[in-house]
Amino acid sequence: MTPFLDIFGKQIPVYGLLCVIGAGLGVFLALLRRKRAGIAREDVIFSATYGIIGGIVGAKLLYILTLVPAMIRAHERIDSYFRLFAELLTSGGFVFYGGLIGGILMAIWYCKRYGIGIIKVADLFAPSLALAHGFGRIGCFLVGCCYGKPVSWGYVYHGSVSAPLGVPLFPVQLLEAFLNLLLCFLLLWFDRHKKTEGKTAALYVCLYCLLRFFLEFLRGDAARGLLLGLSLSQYISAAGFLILLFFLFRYKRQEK
Amino acid sequence: MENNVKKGKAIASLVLGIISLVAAWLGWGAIVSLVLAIVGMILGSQAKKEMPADQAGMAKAGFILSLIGLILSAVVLVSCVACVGCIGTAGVLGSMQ
Repeated sequence: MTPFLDIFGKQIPVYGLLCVIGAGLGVFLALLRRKRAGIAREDVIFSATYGIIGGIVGAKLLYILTLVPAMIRAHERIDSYFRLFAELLTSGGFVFYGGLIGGILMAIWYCKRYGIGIIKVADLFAPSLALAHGFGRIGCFLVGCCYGKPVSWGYVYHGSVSAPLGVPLFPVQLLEAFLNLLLCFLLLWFDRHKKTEGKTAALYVCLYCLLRFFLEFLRGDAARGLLLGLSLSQYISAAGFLILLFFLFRYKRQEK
Repeated sequence: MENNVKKGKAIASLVLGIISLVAAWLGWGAIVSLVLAIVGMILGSQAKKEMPADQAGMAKAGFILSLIGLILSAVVLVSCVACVGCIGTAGVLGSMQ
């Protein structure tokens, strides 16, 4: 597997290319479904734009945050914090959950500013998010990052700069890509049959948090950092699931 | 006065979009292109929403050029967090071990 594709003499990173393709297909899917949701084409494109911008910024910020413990431990050896942050900003490092949170916040800001229903937009983009994420995970597999635990029958990387070479690894990236695509189809089906706004987005959050929590046990890249045996993503997944349950419970009580 | 602000946003979006595209293509730095593209897209989208449809051509062009600049720079910059320890920040993190 190669992390780069040669296109017209330029070395194009595969992971970035697949993320862009995934995001593009996600927006296209939302545009196909927008009439049923009653959202203008311009609002779909612009809310997606703000979401993607928030996603990039949020993912980068959370990535930097995950490195703070290491920075504190090594503060005596850091010559220049400016140089350190410049290198961190210009390097390719992003965390999905940071992107999801940042993207949601920016999309909410856009919707509030122009008076568009936030819940309607959330339902519209939930399947698109799952689809885009699936493509991102295929990119992870091709590059060799976010790899799984060693298993005797696993995939062996020979040229990856991230995964351990010559070790058969569980293809957890492909499993997550497959589950995300399955989630996308499930959400599309559910959205056509739902009776209340917001349930599609709620279902996405609920199922993705569960999916991610359990898939993390199959991950072998310990560099992500663990606390009390659980990774940052597992803590975020658990928190997301509990927050969703809280809001669903409160919504049910208000309905009664 | 308000019209001038909206027009200004559209022009700024177009200029930033062009610079972002050039920066991405000539390899001045994906982060430079990304930042310019983000600002260009935000200004372009705001101008497009606030101006009448028949006057928003420049805003639309600025948005599209910034979008292309964003795509080109994102392809280069976006990579998974686990990759960074090996590719981009090995030197930085290594000094902290």
